[in-house]
Amino acid sequence: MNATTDTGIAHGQPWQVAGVTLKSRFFLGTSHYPSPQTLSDAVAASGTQVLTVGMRRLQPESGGGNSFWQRISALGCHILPNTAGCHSAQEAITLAQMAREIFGTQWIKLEVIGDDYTLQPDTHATLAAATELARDGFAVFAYTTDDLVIAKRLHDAGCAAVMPWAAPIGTGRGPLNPYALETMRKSLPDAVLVVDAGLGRPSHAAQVMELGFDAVLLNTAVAQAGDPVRMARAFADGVAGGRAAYESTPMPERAAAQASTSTVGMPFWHAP
Amino acid sequence: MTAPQTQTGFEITLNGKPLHTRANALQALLIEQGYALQGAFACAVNNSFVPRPQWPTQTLQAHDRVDVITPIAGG
Repeated sequence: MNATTDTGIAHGQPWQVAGVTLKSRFFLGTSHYPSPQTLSDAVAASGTQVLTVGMRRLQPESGGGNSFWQRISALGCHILPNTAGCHSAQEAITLAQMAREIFGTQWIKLEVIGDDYTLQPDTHATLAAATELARDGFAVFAYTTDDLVIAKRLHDAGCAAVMPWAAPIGTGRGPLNPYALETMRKSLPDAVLVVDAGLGRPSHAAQVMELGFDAVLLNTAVAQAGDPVRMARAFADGVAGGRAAYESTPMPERAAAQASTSTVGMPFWHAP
Repeated sequence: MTAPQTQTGFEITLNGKPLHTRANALQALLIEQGYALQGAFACAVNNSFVPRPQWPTQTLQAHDRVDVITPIAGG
């Protein structure tokens, strides 16, 4: 039986991550929207239950940072603060501790950037930070590459979710290495795996969900679409469709054609 | 609230910018600089997190680096 929200999105079976049960498998970022109202409308259209947020320096004259936080709080979603912009394990750990106090959550989207051009994560520093944060009680959602071995290490370190990229952040290129993602899914059947970054179209989301990923996380593909609200819904349907396909077990591929219509009783045909 | 202050003050860095302050504790600095203490922000001194209950007693010294962090949109 499918759970269906008031948006009509067929989410499928509820699932669990970091101690909570969710219906939606679509995590959404809050950046780059054309207006705060568009963000709110896109969130509603997406059916998402998890929103990512960032943190930056606050100047006293800017008003305390409460307006953004109040708007996000009112949306009623779980908050996943990120450590975007950090370049070392220690920076990420400190920012995670600050996030825990601000947001009152143990959840942290761990990002430690190793290359400023590609925004490729520093997987060594990510693992070091993840290990310490998990020991400190954080539910770590670790942003990483599609490298299988580092994904295993992050899972073994106690991450709540391992989040491989499909492509570099903000590129919208879709899964560049589906084989690596499929291998990761099959090799870590018990891990929560969320594809984070690089998805540009709903078909990309459906593709990775068909591979058995637990959820997707994206931002730019919705926020910078011509119509972010409709695109949010399109992604929600793509995610739900991909998950339904995975749960339905797609047919195996065949090398040769096979007619769908039976040849038995075919007129005009006579044995030679 | 009266902020603890030194007589002559000293130089620190606040959010990456040099600052001359007479506040010798973190909370005193926040008040001095006009932060609304009930706001949605967290603090670090020299890249170490300082929990909110420790703001009044977290002493500051010359050349300390203070960061005040708040939520923003993010992906």
